[in-house]
This record gives sequence, C-alpha cells and structure tokens, in this order.
Amino acid sequence: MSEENVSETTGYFRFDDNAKAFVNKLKNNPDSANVGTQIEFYWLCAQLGLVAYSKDDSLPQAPPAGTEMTDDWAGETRKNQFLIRAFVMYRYLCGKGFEDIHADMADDIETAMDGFLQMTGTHLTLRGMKELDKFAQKGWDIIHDGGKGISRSNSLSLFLVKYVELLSEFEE
Amino acid sequence: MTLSCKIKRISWEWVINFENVVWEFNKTSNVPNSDTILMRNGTGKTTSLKLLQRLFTGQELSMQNGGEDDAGILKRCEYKGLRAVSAPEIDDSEMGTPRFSVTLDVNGEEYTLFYVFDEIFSTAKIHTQGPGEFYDYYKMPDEFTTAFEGNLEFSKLIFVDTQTAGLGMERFNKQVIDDLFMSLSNVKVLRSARTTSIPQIIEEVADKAKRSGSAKEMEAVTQQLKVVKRVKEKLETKLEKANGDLETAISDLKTTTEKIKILRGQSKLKIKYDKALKARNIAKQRVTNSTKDILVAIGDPQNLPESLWYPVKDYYALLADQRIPEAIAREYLGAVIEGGICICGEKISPKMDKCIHEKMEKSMGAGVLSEVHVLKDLVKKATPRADIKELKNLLEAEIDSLDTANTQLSALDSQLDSDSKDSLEELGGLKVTLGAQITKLNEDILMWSCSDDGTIKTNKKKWLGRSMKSGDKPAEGRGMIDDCKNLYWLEQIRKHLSKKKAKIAGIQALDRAGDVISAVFEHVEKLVLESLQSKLKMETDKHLSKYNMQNELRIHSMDQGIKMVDGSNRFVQSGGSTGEELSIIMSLVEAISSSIDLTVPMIIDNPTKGLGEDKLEGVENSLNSFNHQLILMIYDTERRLLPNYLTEGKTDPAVAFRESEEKGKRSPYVVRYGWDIFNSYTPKGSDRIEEVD
Repeated sequence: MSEENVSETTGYFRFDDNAKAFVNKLKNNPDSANVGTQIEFYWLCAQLGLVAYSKDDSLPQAPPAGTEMTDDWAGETRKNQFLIRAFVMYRYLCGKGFEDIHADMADDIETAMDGFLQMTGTHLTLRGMKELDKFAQKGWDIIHDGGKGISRSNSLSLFLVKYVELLSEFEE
Repeated sequence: MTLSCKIKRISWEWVINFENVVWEFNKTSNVPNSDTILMRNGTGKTTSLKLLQRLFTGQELSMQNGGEDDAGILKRCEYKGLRAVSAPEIDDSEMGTPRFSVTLDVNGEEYTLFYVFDEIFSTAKIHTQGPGEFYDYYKMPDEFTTAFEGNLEFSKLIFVDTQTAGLGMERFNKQVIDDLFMSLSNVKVLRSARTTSIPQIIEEVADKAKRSGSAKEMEAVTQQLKVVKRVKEKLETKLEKANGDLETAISDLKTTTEKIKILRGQSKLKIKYDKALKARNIAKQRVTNSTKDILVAIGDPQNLPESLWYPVKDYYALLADQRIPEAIAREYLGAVIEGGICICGEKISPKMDKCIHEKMEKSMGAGVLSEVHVLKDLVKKATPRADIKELKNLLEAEIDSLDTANTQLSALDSQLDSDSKDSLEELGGLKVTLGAQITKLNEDILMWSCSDDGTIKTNKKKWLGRSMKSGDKPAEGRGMIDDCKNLYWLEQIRKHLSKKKAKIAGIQALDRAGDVISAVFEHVEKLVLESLQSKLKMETDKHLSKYNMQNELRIHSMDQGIKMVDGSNRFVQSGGSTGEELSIIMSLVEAISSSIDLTVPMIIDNPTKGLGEDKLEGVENSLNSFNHQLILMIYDTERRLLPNYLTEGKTDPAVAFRESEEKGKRSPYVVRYGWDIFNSYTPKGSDRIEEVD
C-alpha cells in the first residue's frame, strides 16, 4: 500500500431501510423483473435526488448508522461509476459555492475535490459517500412520498415507467 | 483430452418395472447416430435417465444422503413390475439381484458401469467392468473421469430431462457452465491443489512445527479452524440440499403449469385459450425484455434528458477550459525536493523549498489528480446511448398489451364449469406457492454460494453477521465464525486463521510459498478457462446457426452462465423454450467435440412433453441437425408429434413392453426393434409408478 493510500478511508453507503424493503418487495413478486442489486436501486434514487436538487436546493440528512449497505459498486453501477462520481461531485462543488467557476478559484476547488475523491474502494471519500447517501435519501423521499408515491408499484416495469415520468417533471 | 464415448447398451434387472431387459444401440440397422426407445408413460424413463446421469459421474446412491435426489430415485427404482398389482404374477423370492447398467464404448474399448442395489433399495453401489478387469467401484479411464467424475451438472446437461427445460435455463447457470469448463480444460486439479491440498499441507506442517508462539495461542487458532471446517461442511450440505430442492420445485412448477394448460386445453375453449396464452406469453416476454432494457438505460447518467445532464457536461467543460485542477501532484513535488536537491541536480534554496512545500500543501495526490482528468474526459465524451422516454413509451404500451392478454385469459377462465374453475384456482394457488418457494431457494443458494464481493457486502448483515468485523476484517471468535452463512467469506476467514497459525508455528516462509504457488495456479486456471470460453462461444455460435433459432438467437456470453442475445443485439435473455434449449445443448456438445476432441452421447427424455405445436417444429429441426449419438426416450403419444424425425433413415426405433398385459398373466418386459412394432404398439393398462412406502 502506498503512503497516499494510508490516509484513505473505507466506509459503507447507507440506504433507507424502507427503500431496501421496496427492492425486496419486487424480488418477492414472481411476475416482476428485478433490480440486480440494492446499489442499483440506490443509484436510481440518488440520480432522482441529484436531478430534483436543482428545484429546491434542499437535502435531507443521510441515513443513520445501522443502514449500511455496501462499500463498493456492484452490477450496473460498477460500469457507470465514473459518470456517477462526476454527477455527484458536480452537485457537491456547486453546493460549495463553486457554481460559476473561474481560474482564480482553482486552489479551493482542488482542495474540495481532494476531500471528495480518493483512489481506493468506491473512489469516494467518506465525505463523498455521505454526500451521495443524502441524494439517495432525497430521491427515495420523492419516490416514497409518505406512502403515496411511486413505491406503491408492485412490479419493476410499472415503477420504471413512473420513474421516467418523475424525472421528466424536473426538466426545464 | 481425447474422449470418444458412445452408449452401446442399457440393462435393467429387477429395477423400476423391468425384470431383465437389455436395449442395444444400432441393433437392427445402421443409422449411425440415432436410436429411439418407446416406453409407455409411467414405465420409468425419467428414473432411468436420472440413473444414467449419476452413473456416469460415479455418484453412489444412498437414502442416508438426504435431499430429494437420492431418496427419490432409490424409491422409484424399487422393483414393482409383476408384483405390483392385486394379483401378482411373481413373489419376492423369484426376484433376482437388482442392477442397472450401461455399457459404453470409450475410445474403442468396452466398459460397463453398474448400479447394484441392496435388497431394500436403500443404497446403490457402483461396479465397473473394464476391458480386462472387474472392479467393485467406479473405475473408468482418465479421459472419461476428467469429463464426468463428480460432474453431475455436465451429465444433466447432456442427458436431458425436458421437465426442467424452458424455465430460466437453470441448466445453463453460472455454476453448471463454470464446472463444465473446469472439467473440460483439465484445471480442476489446479483448483483442488490451491483450495484444498496446499492449505492442508501448510496446516499439517504448522501442527508439527516448532512453535514461535504459545501453546495456548496455537490451541485457540486450531479450534477456530475446526469451527470453520464444521461451518463449511454445514453450509455445503445445505447448499447441496437446496440445489436438489430447487430442481424439484422447478419440475413441480412445470408440472403444475402443464396441468393448468391441460385443464384449459380439455375445455371447449381450447382454440381460444391457445390463442390467448400465446398472446399473453409474447406480451410477457416483451415486457420483461423492455424492462431490462430501460433499467440498464436509466442507470446510465448520460441517457438522462438533455436538460438534466447537460449542466453536468457544461460544468466539466468549464473545469477543463479553466484548467482546473491546475495542481501538480504532491508525489511529484515530493520527488522534486528529495534530499534538498532538485531533480535537475541543483541544490534547492530555502526560499524555493518553502514555495514547493506550500504548493504541496494545496496539491492533490497523483491518483486523485488523474481521476479528475478521467472524469472530465468521460463526461466530455458522454453521449446518450438510448432514448429513455422512447423506451418508457414502448414499455408502457407493452404493459397495456400484457394487461389486455391477462384480462382475456381471465374472461376465458370464468367461462369454465364450476369444477374446472375450482381445480384451476387450486392449481393457481399451488403455482404461487411454488414460485415463492423457488424465490426463497434461489435467495438461500445465492447467500451460501455468492462470491461477488459487492453483493456479499450489500447483504453483510444477514449473510455474515458477526463474522465480519469492523474494517471488513474476518472475525476469529468461534461464535462469530458460526454466524457466517457465505462460503466465500468463510474461505477468507480460513485463510486469515491459517496465516495466523503459520505465524505462531513459525512457518511463514512456507505459507508465503503456498500463497505464491496458489496465485500462479489461479492465474493459469483463469487464462485456460478464458481461452476455452472464447473458443467454445465461437464454435457453439457456429453450430447454433444451423438450428434455425427464433429471432436469430445466439450466444451473448458464457462467463455468467450461458446468456443469449437476439439478432438485433438488444435483448439479452437467460431463458429459452424447450426447443431453444435443446438446440443450445446440441450446439454446445458439437462445439465441445470439434474444439477439444470430446465426443459424448446425448439422451433426451420426452422431447415433446408439454410443447405446443408451434414449438414442435423447432425441436424436430434441432434433432435433425445433430450429428453425434442421440438417444430419444419417448412415450406412445409422442410418436405422431415428430413425423419428420421419427422416420426410416433418421433413427432406429425400439419398443420396451410386455407382450402380454392381461392381469395375472402379464409377461416380462422385452425389447423389440423395428418400425413395424414401433408404429403398431398400443399400450394397455398402466405401469405408472406409484410411490412405495
């Protein structure tokens, strides 16, 4: 292990237990196709959260300890992990006030990036993972909508149709 | 490996329903590669097939083994025949020793494998008659055992029970295909060396070594390793049982589905049902395919609608324009000032030193720096691969079609008479129960056997319990090890404890040597398997092209079991119809033969069972295109279903039957060959096997 890696951290993505239960609900329906792994659904939630953030600039708390899910990318998220990191880092940097960037902010942006990315595990630092957890929570809150949302779908097919419709609501 | 194997003879002696019956391949004509045996339904074809599957692999049978498999097969093997009715023709004292055997031509030499049953059918031992010697155990040539011994999945693959066909391609799952490649490529010995022999040698040496640690420490770790071994055995037993139960549940589900089909087919509404079912199945398959498509597309951020993704794209373009990050990697700056000398050789002044240190404070590591550059580059190149709105519209339309098809089916069900309605409801309930059972078994099997790191950690709480400590370290406490329900993680615990033991014993050098050798073996295994996989994929596809597959179906990949893809390259599927599955098996068998010189027979039990007329043509085409030894075991009504295959010049027919079936005067089973008897034979009465208590 290089000296650089010594300072790197390992941690778990955390995901709302109700969201995990939703994935299991679909899994137990023999007439429904399944999401491959929990983290693939986690990403769908996070993606919705990232998109929805532009409307209200608000973020919920990340899920608490005890909701740990995985410490690595799996399934389709493994393939898409670079763009996923790019998306969440974009939101993170904007949230830090680096929305309109110019060269004289370089040092501060670099420091922020350095605290957000690392070279092992998910390539996100604990801070980066926690940030993504918050977006996943935001997305799940929209999906669940206090029990009235699209999480009432009993099959993945219906859920995905409604998910695309939800995404469209955030288009400008 | 060169193996040419053909079945010459199958014999039944006082097993199932047979007294003393011998069937011989190519007995009466010279159609070189195809024979068909006709036996009426319930005689024992499937039981015979299961015996052959296990006999080839050297698996002895015992009631003590547990699970459905052995007990179920042994129960069915118990001779009923002429003593199974109210007026039996023989009594028990007239029975001979129960045996079942298959005689093979293996690379030009004759071998016979026997199952010899005990009197109460609680065990079946294997004996072997080789070219010159007899053995009271399984003793086949190396070329044969390399392919078959302990490889039940391969055996099941080529001796096909169509009961389990068309249900998610269970026969082509990852474990089956990995095991198959492992056997075919002769690397099983490497795996066994690195997973069993090397750790065993190290542990033995550790036990005998002069210790550098205390006796107490040594005792503790030895006990912990014993717990690992015990838990491993427990999990392996559960896994084996679950695999057997899964097979049974899948078969029961298919039987239930068939019963529903028959019930509907017997009504006056048959034509309407056939039409509605066909429409429903097509609609369902489309919904499944489109769901998978949209799921993949939607998880990829570059497919988001422009207005949602473009701000990200613009942002990274701006970062690139502004040359952010402009940092120099801190590792590079560290190298510049190493020892107070610049890399150019000049001595660094205190002022320069201070400046470089300030830069280092602000800089990022080389890894993170390159990661940001990769992100910028990938975001720049990202373009939509799929239109998710279009996919959503398509899926929505397909869901509507499925709903319509289901409504039509329900409307037909409501027109049935009340008895049929009740039966249908009962079968529907059973189907749901079996579906849930299969889901649960699949979940359990995944929990015990999964080796994907990400998936294991996702299910950490349930699968690993306390056996994974914080920081993902393997636990050492005996109670904690007991919590582990995953064989892969258990192996990590074993490795960890073994290292600890080696350290206490002071044999780290030997332990490290073991690691190195294991790593080399693993690497060789990987290369050999990858090469075989790619060769077989290419060859199987080549052979598959002659099988007239629907939608130009071909092999997509073999690393996660066999996955198929259609001609448009869009729909990846892991399931197939019976006809498709048979074509894939046949192509694979032909590919194996042409790639690695391994020629094996195929047996298909009830090739048309449960098939609609639209599927029969596909099966018939597959049979006609196969070039190796092929034996069909059929029942009487299947004769008319394959008219273009069951004809002179294509196959040699035989019938196993009783010449007299009159109650109290039944004659023993005989085998007769030729088209006359094959076409004229009409079964009377029933030999259906009832469960024997």
